Amino acid sequence: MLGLFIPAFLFATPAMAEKYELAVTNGVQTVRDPRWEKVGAAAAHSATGLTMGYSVSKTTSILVGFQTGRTGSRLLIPTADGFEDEDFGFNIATTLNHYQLGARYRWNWKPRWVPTTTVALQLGHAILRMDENVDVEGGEVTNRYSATAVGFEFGGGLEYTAAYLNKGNVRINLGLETGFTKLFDLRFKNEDSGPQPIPLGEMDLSGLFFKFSLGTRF
Amino acid sequence: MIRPALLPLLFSACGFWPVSQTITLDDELWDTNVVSIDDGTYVILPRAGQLVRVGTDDTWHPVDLNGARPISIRADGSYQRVMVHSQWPICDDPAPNIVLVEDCAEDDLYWGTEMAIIDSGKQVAVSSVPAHMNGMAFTPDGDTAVVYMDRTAESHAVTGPIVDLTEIMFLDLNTGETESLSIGFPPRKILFTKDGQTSVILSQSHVLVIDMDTREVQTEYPLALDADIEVEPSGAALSPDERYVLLTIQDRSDLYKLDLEVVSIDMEALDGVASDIANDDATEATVLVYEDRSQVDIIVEHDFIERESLPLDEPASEVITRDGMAILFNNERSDSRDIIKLDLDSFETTEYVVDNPIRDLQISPDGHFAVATLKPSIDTDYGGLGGYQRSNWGLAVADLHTDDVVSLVLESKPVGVELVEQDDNSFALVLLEDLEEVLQVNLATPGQYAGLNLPSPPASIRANPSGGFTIAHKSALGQISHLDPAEGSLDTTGGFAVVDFFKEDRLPRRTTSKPNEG
Repeated sequence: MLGLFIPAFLFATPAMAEKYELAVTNGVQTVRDPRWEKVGAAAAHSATGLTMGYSVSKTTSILVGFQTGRTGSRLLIPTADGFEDEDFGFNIATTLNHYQLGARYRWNWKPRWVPTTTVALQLGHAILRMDENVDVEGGEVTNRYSATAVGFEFGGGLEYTAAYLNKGNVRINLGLETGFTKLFDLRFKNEDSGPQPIPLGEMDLSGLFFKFSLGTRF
Repeated sequence: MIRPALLPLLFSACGFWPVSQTITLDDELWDTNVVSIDDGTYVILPRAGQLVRVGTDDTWHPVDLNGARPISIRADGSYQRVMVHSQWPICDDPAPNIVLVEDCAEDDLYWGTEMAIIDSGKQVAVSSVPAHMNGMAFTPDGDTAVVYMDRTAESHAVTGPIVDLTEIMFLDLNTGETESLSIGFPPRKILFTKDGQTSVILSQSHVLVIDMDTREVQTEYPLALDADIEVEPSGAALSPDERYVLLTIQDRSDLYKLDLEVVSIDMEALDGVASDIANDDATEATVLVYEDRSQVDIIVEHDFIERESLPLDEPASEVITRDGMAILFNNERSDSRDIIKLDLDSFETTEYVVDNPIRDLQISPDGHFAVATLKPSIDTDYGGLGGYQRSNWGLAVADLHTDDVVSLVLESKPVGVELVEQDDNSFALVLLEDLEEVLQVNLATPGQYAGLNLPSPPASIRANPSGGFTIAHKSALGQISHLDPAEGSLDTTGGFAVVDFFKEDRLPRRTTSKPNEG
């Protein structure tokens, strides 16, 4: 998806100042689903990403972006006699990628402080890995599954212009944004053990998010 | 210009949040006590409440139990079907918003139990067998099981407002139909005649003979005339002609002989308290050994109990018979190291002395070798070869033809030992704790062995009816290997324990039926 948009940004002719925007984002999102507790002890996961935008009017930009984050744990399983045995433990990790396409509206307030409202469609893709990671070469059981779900997010934030470069044509921005992400259930399945996929269960990774960004508009 | 106060935000924008925590799950993902039958290996997933069949071709799938959770499994007598004791949660409150088990109030929640019969990975019949009925004996044709509560084994909770703990159930394994019979006392052991027409149920102070066609009590034998006297059978055997039941009694030096044709009981005074009794079909003899007496008795005539007594160096607690031969050993006493071969034709005994106490013993399929696993006799190695041997686990191989015996020292505790015949040779397949190899010991030359690498340490080994072996590994996510000793091949399947890993604990079969109506 990004491959389609990046050339469009590079070769488009700016009709106005600050036509483009680019930001690195980092954030945390809460997860309310109790099944998440098997992946992470904290009811949240974090992600880092990149957002690119193209202004279609003085106040509105079309955004594309992605975020990726990894959460993992060491799971210990009690044996029949109740003891926790490292031999019966394994590592679990999810890598959750969010791809988004949406619009950002910038409110006119102060030159350096710009409130924003963002609405975006999302495509969530999760990779789940379970790995015994024992010391024996080739001995461990490693499982890998993936699941995809669509969703949306909306949020509000505030951009602060920390610096103007190139005679004021380029802004260096710091941004904060909070909102809600709704992602429909991710359904993990084992496809390799036989003719029928075998369900592992599902997970709802919707929740409130808080992220900040470092970016530029030019 | 970027202000210095904002630099920490800049740096933090490029990093990940911490991700490593340790989480403890509340139950095992899978139970390494697997059951192997003709069509595959069956595994209980306690946490997911699922039963999984693992094939030999690296495939696996959950078995549909209609929402019930397996609590125990076992193969039927012919290793063609799997019997699954299962239970499922029932919520008395029919409110439609109650979907998960945790949504149901504790007072409204109870469990139904049943026994499912699984064939080729599918549930073919289901019966209302309470979970506490954990004992099972199969008729020789394998089509009927007698189910009862075995108080000597681990039992599941007794449920229901009224429970008859002395009830037995006849379970038709083809249809799942059951028929109950209250016998008035809890069974200890069940014997069948070879034609399966008659079963003998032993219990405290009582023995019942049941006609398996009519499923009615034919005869009841009281073992004591005074109801206050408790007579507890410790061992039992049918005489070779199946006319008599021979009973040894716990803590008493008596042998009871129950005549099944002319209803009567004879008592024979033994020389001590018997510890084990076994029949040998080839010589039609019955062999008795004693707990604290260095003696073995051979009953050669059952009509009037003619016994031949032979002295031993040490008491024997166990006897195994095979084709005119009895093997005696003691796995109760830590000072006993003898394996005795008794020829039931000539009454000659041969003594094999092993280096450590015996844990268990098997005879090879051709009757050529006796293979015993040995326990350490001391906790600490005090030095020298003797100390090394006595402080370690061992494997003893006795050649019953040449009368040679070898005691091998094992690196760690044996997880399992299985015997196999191949190309006129006999082998012991030995699995040791934390050793990622299956050791194939040639019983003719026990010091020589071949190792086959395992993908991870073993947890158990089971013989398959097809001649192969199933090895369950110490693996959190589930790992099973199928070993073909003829080919020397090992096919491993892993990862099956993750079924329903993220599943919500939903209430199945949303009805308001009472337990055992299922």
